[in-house]
Amino acid sequence: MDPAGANFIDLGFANVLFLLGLGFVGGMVSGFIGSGGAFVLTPAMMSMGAPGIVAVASNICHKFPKALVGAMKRAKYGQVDLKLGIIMGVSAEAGILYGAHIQESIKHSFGDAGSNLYVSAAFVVVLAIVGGYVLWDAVRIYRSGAQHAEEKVTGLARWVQSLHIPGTMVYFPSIKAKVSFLVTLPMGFATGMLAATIAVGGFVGVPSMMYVLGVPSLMASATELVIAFIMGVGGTIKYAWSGFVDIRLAMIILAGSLFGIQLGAIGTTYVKPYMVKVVMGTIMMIVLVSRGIVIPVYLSELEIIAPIGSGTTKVLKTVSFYVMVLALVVGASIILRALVGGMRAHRLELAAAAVPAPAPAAAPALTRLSPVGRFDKVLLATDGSEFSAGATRVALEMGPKCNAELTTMSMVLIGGYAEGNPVEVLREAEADAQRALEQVKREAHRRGYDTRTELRQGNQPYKEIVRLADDIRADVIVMGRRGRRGLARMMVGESTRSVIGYADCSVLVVPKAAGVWQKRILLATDGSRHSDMAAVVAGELARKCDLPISVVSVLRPQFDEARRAEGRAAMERVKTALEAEGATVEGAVLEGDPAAQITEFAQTRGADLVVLGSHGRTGLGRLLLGSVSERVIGQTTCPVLVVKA
Amino acid sequence: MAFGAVTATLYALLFAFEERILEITGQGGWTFVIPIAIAFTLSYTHGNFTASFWDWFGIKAKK
Repeated sequence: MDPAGANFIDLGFANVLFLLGLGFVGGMVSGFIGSGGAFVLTPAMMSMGAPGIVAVASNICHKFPKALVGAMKRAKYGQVDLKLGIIMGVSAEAGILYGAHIQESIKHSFGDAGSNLYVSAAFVVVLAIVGGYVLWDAVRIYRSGAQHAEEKVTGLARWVQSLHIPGTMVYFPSIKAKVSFLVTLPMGFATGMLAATIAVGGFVGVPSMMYVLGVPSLMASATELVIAFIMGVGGTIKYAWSGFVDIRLAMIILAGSLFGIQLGAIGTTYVKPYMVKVVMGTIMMIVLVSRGIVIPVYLSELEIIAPIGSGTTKVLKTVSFYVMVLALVVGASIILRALVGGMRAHRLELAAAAVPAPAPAAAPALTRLSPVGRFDKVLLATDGSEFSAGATRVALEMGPKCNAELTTMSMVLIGGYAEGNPVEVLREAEADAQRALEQVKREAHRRGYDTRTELRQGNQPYKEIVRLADDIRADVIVMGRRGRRGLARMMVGESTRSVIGYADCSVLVVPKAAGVWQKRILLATDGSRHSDMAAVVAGELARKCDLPISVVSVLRPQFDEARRAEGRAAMERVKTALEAEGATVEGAVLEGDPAAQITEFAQTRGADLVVLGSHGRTGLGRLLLGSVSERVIGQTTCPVLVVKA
Repeated sequence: MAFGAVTATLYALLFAFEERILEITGQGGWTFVIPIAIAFTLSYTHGNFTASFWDWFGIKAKK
């Protein structure tokens, strides 16, 4: 590349103002969704007379300091996964180089029109597929009424998190799980390729982090800023080495964008996480229209379609540019509206909290006299392995929601299989368990919450768990479903069954990839008093989490008509009772194998918590959990709450 | 306020010497460090100023 030298333009006052304004709006969008604020700047600078390569170089030179400021701001809010950002950023650099190489090859073979067509086609394909999905997901969340709930991890992300490729696993704090870097490598590469092609890698980077890895929206958009910074530094060095950066243009845009990025970043602390998807999806769809408008121009220049007159070409290009500007303005307006609404709601909350509570404040306590449905004291049993990850995640999310006191326990096995081990091995096991507890405590603190920790020793995990639950009078024990080592290994089948059998309180069994419920609660009833207790708990949880309930009764094929009528009546009775308490309830009477029906129904209706009553046997029978409950626990991908009286 | 003053001064210097700066950075090669250094410096001073700016208007992150 030849140095640009004399190709730097004279800047008029109007141009400066225009760039400041675009920078501000673009900065706000980038601060909020992590990227997407810069794609309009290159054509804007070109419209002022800057050569294309100078416009691209100056754009990228303003992006990295902007991304740096945004990333640091959002890191203060605990939204950045630095490790993930760096790993993806490095692979994105490779993607940029490859993307630029493809661009140059196309330009060499097909000229400017071919290159423009390639860029527009990339825009249209990526924006249509990814943008369409992001917007659809945002609309789905809005319609489900779960805007307030925590985000649901996709099935793909759960699968990715369950993959174990030795030697490649990296722990990412944003998902609290290990993922192979072989998965993040192509994600970063695609982000870089897209950045080299359409100047907004985040349109692939952010959705891939959300949907492929399971990173929460706000953390994904914040982490994208780290990736953008790394890509920006690399890109700036590349272009500045050839002398193409017009530092004045870059710094004018930066002046406006830093005001915007601060505002966008502040906005993320007030909005519901799904708003990231709303803004990103909306911008992507409008830009899709913008790029679609100019495709006929490039097709015409390549003589693929009949020639288009120069007047029409100019109109199409101008309309396309202003539709792009519109995309930014619409995105920024949504952010501002959400920010203003969020700040107003927050002020009202603070004002309400400042008002002294009325004197007869004992009433709520009276409703909590019954232990059924009460979650004041939660006991989390963990060994720090990936198999406890789901239980930890759920305990740390449900604890604050229920205003519960959380105790986290881990243990060191002595005797039994560990008998005869050298003292060093036991010390090591103790250190491991202590580390697991400290990890949970740190995570709790990060969320502004706290947990008491308890390290116990014993030869049978279930006994220690049940004993501690008795000691602290826990209302619910939260534990993983199964594991491979230490405490988790002992929880396979027998220990989980034993805890459920022997504990006096309810037990919440959480698969490793599951998260806290945010869509629908499924209550399985058989008309027994145990099921009624489960119904009370399900109703209480539905009220706290503002979720609908599905009440299900399953009829076995061999049931006679009387039993069938009984099953239908049981469902109706529970449904009516829950509706009377104000819950949104749907009822279903299914036929077939109960465990299979419950599991399948949970999946098809998108239920993410199953509530079952325990039959609370005594003596030796306590060890028999019941085949239906056991199979439901073993087969569902969501948490299962076994309710005790 | 101090960051605002420093930022304004730096921008004034940038435009006062714009021709000379563009002449040097337009040569490419190791002069790439100049735009990068300018970008880092202004991101620090202007970043701090803009953070305070919204604070003055009562626009602060939710705790």
